[in-house]
This record gives sequence, structure tokens and C-alpha cells, in this order.
Amino acid sequence: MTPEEIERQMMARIRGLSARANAADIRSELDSLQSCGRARLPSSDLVEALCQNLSLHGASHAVVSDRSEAVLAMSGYIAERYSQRRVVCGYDARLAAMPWRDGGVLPRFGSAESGDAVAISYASAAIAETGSLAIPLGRDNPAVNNLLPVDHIVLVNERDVRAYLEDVWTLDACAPEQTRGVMLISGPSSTADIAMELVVGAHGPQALHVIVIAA
Amino acid sequence: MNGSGVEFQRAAAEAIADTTHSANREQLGRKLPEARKEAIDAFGGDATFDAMRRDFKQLREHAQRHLGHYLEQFVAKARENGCQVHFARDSDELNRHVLDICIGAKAERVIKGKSMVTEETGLNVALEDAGLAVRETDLGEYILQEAGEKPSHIVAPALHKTKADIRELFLRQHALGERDLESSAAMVAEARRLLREDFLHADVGIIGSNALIAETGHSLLVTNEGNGDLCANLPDTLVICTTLDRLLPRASDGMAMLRLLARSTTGQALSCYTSFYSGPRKHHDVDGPTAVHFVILDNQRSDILASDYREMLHCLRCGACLNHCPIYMTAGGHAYDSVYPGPMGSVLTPLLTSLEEAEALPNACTACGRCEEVCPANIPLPGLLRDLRAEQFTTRVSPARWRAGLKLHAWLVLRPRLYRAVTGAAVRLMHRLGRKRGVIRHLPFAGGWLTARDLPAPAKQSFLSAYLDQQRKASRGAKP
Repeated sequence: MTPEEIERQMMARIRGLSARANAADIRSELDSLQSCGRARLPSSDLVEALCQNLSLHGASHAVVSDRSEAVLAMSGYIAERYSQRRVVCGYDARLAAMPWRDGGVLPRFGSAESGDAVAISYASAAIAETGSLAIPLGRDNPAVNNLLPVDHIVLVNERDVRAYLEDVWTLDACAPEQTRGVMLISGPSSTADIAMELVVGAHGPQALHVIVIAA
Repeated sequence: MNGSGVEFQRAAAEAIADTTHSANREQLGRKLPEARKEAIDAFGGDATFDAMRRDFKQLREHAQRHLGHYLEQFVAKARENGCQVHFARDSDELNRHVLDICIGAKAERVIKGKSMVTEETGLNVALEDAGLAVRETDLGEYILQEAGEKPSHIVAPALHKTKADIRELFLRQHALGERDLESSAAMVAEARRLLREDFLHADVGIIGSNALIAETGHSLLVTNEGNGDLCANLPDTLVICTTLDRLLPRASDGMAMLRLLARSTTGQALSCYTSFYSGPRKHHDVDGPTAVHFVILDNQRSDILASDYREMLHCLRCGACLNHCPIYMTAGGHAYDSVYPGPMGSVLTPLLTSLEEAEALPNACTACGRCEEVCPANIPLPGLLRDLRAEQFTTRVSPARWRAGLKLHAWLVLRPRLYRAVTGAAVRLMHRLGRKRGVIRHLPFAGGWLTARDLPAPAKQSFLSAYLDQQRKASRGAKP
């Protein structure tokens, strides 16, 4: 049997097992369903709720007033861990416009390589409900930058902190027409596969640091 | 597989005797239910979480009722997004598709994220037989691949390995000279270093899918280690092996599922990496696969959909039922001898194989109901297990002695007066046997059960008999 015949056979079988209804009726049935609940936010202040949930995942955070302070915060974070301040960033225009010199940070724009210690991404949104950063993948935020370095620093604008997970789908940047994927990052890479002991830094970054920029 | 009850019991007895290797399991049985409870309290409490489980179940039932519509919508959207979609009726067809994709990509090295579907089809063996180097990258799966063993839990595959086992394994398998590897962190670091090479040089990445989104063509991937995302983004070709029951109508429904999934598994609000992938790299992208393939497997699922067991297709593979099951905790995952152990596996395995091959599994249940209480998809697991047992009885799969006993029992309970007389006599006898100590230590036909526990002696009268006596006295007293 050819692959096309197998597909036709499987599709016919599933269609035969499905209810007879047209697309409009199915949509109307779907819309009539009770929408599923959402988590209680730990604070009515979205940034506060975000930061509390990030801490639960083992991520650190800072809230700064502007881009200059953000660079200083990054510089301080990197200086505590490394002797040099080289970082890799995607081609996001907001990252290109950061006043890097203010903090002596040396960015390289492009995708991370195995030896890169620190990557910086700019999230399209942060979700307070779960403490997650929504990062659409692409030239602005290559996936490898989220995964290969040891430290991952993610910037997000305070106005982009949203309450609930569904808010991700209101962003044009996250639509399939715009990006091949969206990553929701909620903490550093971790595993408990050896004797149920939690170890941070399994295959991805060993640390996630989030900087919320107020303006 | 451990088809017969005798084989299951033998494997379970070995697991019980091996207290060294059951330590992790006991820890999991304590920690994860606690973590789940804390997460649900933070979410808004049991009532709120249960309401969400009910609402999500309605959504899954809707998706299942219109599966043909949503499958067509997903396939069309995935192709529009630039993906290739293949269909496989059984394990061999899935393995053949993936091998053809690897050959087409001139692949030599393949990396895999954790995928129950490819465990089910035995994909690794098929690829390795064709000369490909296959590397499992989930840490637990990697440990088991190095050890040549099978998973014992769907979320924590190497649960049966102690820290000392893994240390010894790494020292034996990895020619890295002298090192102590005393801590879990040191072992994780070693695996990270070795697997990084595989991630960077693999030609094909293979992952599973937690859900397929019909309206957008997305595939949802949930991990804590980040290995699945490395598999999805570094190699030039990505293959997503999945089954048709993973379909959800809208992207927002994926978010609803996520609220249930990690909380039920590890107690996290969301796993560290939750990714929605829709297609290959776009023309301006600087990374990502240039080809994305979906292989959609049936392997009996359409038969399950046509049966009274279709609710089993709602399973999210979270592992909560395993974490709360007294049989799983006692017998361990390997006693089930299936890719899918625990309560969900005891229902699914006979449906994927046959009632004969998996004869023991529907009986590996105390009917305590904990699995149903914690299942995020609200699957009535004890009821489905009972139905499978009933089917085993009617199709004469159960042992003849067992069926004869059940027939006798059924005959008796259908005659209430005789039932009361027989059980009343038995209760009086047992009361006399345990009169001195308050417990019974020896009883015909229950030797095995009483070796590790005492049976409290029953009251002199059964509840019904005492109730009837009381009613009689009351009616006599009420007469003028």
C-alpha cells in the first residue's frame, strides 16, 4: 500500500468513527463549552506575581527602571560569575539598541555556539500565572541562545507582563505565520532522574535570570 | 510480556524483596503526591482544580467526537506551515517512515527526546539495525540506554536505578579516566558534557508530542531538561512521532492542558521548557531544522476509539496514577513488562496488545480509586480495569479456577437469604477463631495474605444482622 493510500485509509477510518457534523456546528459546539479555569495569581500586582512564580522555578530576577539600569544589572550579574563580559544576543532590534557600553558588556549578535557562557534574549511577554517567558523563535531570538549557554538572561518589558498563558496567543509575534515556534521558559534546565535528587543544569542553561524593565 | 498472573507476581515479589532498588520508588510515592497537593492548593484548591478537570474532559470528549474534523484540520495546517505529514497504521510502518526520513537526510547520527510512542514501536532497534547511531538524550533514558534496560516509570524512566548503580555504570561505560562521581550533580555534569557532542553533531532529531493543535498545526513539547528542545532545534531534520489521540482544537486548549499536566506530575505550575513548534526554519532564521516531519501513528487507537474504552485516549501521560498507585509502588514498573506501567498501563496495554497477552494487568488493582481521584484527564481507571476483567471473564481469558470462584460467588449473592446464612456462619466462625487475640493469624485459603499481616476478628454479628435485630426489637417495643 502506498503512503497516500495508508493516509486515505486512516483518515476514512477516523472520519467514520467521528460524529456527523459540519465545521460550523463543530465550532458552535466548541464555543459553547465551559472555558477551563485559571490559576489564582499569588499577587494582584502582575510583576510581583511573575517574580514570585519565577522564584519557585529557581530563576532569579531583578526589576529595573530603564534600559541603562538593565545593562548595569546584566553587567553585575555577569561580573559575579565570569571574568569577562562577553554575551551572545539574537538580532532583536531592542537588544541592538541597548546601551551596552554603560555596563561594559560586549555583545556578539547571532546564534550561540557551544562555548558561549551567557546569552541574552528579549521576551515578547512574561506570564505571571506560571512565571514564564514567552520567546518566539527566529532571527531575533535563535532557539540555541535559549539552550546552549550556561547562563540565560532574559529581558522583558513591564508592559509585556501578562496575567495568563492564553495571552501568548494574542501576540502577533507568536503566530505560526511569524515564527516557527514559541518557547515558554520558566526556569533553568533541571533533572531529578538520578535518585530523585533535583540537579539544576541538565542539558540547557544552569541559571535563568530575568530582568523586568519598567520603561 | 508478563502475560500471566504468576509472572507478574514473581516479578512483583522480586521487586518487594529488593529493598535497595525500591527506595527511589518509595521516595517518589511520598514526594510527588505531596508536591501535587501543594500545587493544587496554590492553584486555588481541590474544588477549583476538579472543576478544571471536568471542563477539560468535556473539551477532550468534544475533540474525540469530532476527531476526523480536527485531524484533517491539523494535517492541512501542518502542511501549510511547511511540514511533511506521514501516517502509520502500526509500529512497523512508523519505524519504516522514520528510517526512510533518516536515509533521505543521509543521516548517520540520530538524537532522541523522550518519546513513549517510539518506545512502543521499538524505533531504536529498527534504526540501529539499519546502521544508524541512535542516542537517547533524556537523562533517565540515556542511563537506561547505557545500561541496556527498560524504563520503569513513564516520567522517571530510571527510577529503579540507585545512585551507586548509575555511578558504576558511568565509570564502566565512559572512558574518562579516574574521577569520583560521588554526587548526582557530578554525574549529571558528565552526561551533559558527553551528550552535548551528540546534540551538536546529530543529523536528525526525534521527539514526541504532548499535544497537537488543530487550528495552528503546532506540536507541543514539555520537558524540564531542555533535551527535547535541543533535539528539535539543532539537527537539520526534525521528526515528531505522535498519535492521533493527541489532538486539541485550539492553541488556548493547549494552555488549559498545561495547567493540568505539570501540576499533576511534579507539582510545577509549568515545566521549565514548554514549546510550541509549527514548522521548519523560515527564510530569515539563523537556526532550526530545514525539514520537519510528523509521523502520526494509529496502532490500535482507532479500535480503542470505536470501543467502550475510548476515555483511555484522554490520557496525558503525566504519571500521576503511577505515583499514587499502591500496586505500582509495591510491585515496581518492571513487573508490568510494558512500556506503560501502573494503572494507565494496566488499561492501555491490553488494548494495544490483547487481553490474553496482558492477562495479569487488569487484575493488578486494589480498586482503591486513588488513580481516578488524581487523573488530570478524569479517566475512570478503576471502572475501565473492572470492565477489562469482566471481558476476561466472559471471553474465558481468566483462569478456569478463578472463573469458577466468581461464578460461585455470583450464584451466592443472587440468593440473599442463603448469602446471609453463609456469610453469617462464616462471621460467627471467624469471630470465635479470633476471640482471644482479637486477630486471626491462620485461615484456610488465605495463607499468603496472612503471612505479612493480621486479619482483625470480625464482630459477632454482621452489620445487616445487627440492624435487622435492632429493627425487630424496635418494632416489638413500638407495639401497644
